[in-house]
Amino acid sequence: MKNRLRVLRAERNWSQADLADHLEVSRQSVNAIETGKFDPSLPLAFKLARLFKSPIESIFTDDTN
Amino acid sequence: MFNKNLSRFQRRSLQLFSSSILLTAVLTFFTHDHFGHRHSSNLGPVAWLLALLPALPFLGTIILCLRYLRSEKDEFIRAQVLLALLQGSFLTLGFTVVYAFLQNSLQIPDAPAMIYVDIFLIASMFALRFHLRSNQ
Repeated sequence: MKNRLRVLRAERNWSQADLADHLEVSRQSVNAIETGKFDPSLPLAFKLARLFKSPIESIFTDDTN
Repeated sequence: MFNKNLSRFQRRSLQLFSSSILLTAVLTFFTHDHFGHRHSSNLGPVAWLLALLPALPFLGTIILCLRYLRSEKDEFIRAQVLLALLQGSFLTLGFTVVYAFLQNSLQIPDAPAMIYVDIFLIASMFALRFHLRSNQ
């Protein structure tokens, strides 16, 4: 699964720690999601979508196709 | 000593895990040493108490672990803890197989039963540290 988290975060000048604070997760979690090592659950994906005011599919894209 | 990026709850849980693992290891070696120097028939009811002693912190560790997994809100960290526990189990199984083979072929003495608990806990702890460090 690919994602635009790094771009969205950079647009807001947020560090990984800032985003982690907003999401109430660890910085390692943000790093793992950004680098594609970990796919977030639906509740966390919705939380990201609400935070960035974007639909989930514009943040995450399925790279299997 | 612990990762600075962890929350207070995670750090506290790790400290509790470490303490109970250390206590399990110390009590295991203490009781093994105690049993090793006396004949079991001379110990009587003390033998039962000594046998239970190292199991208590281990049971405590299991309860701590379950409580932690239930309360952990960070799904990535929870996944890393589960992965570390699984790797600890695999390493313990590997040790068991190798040791059983050596025991049969080289006639080496039995390992104390609680050593498997120690291996599982220590291996899981190292695996967790490795996973957390690799995602800094």
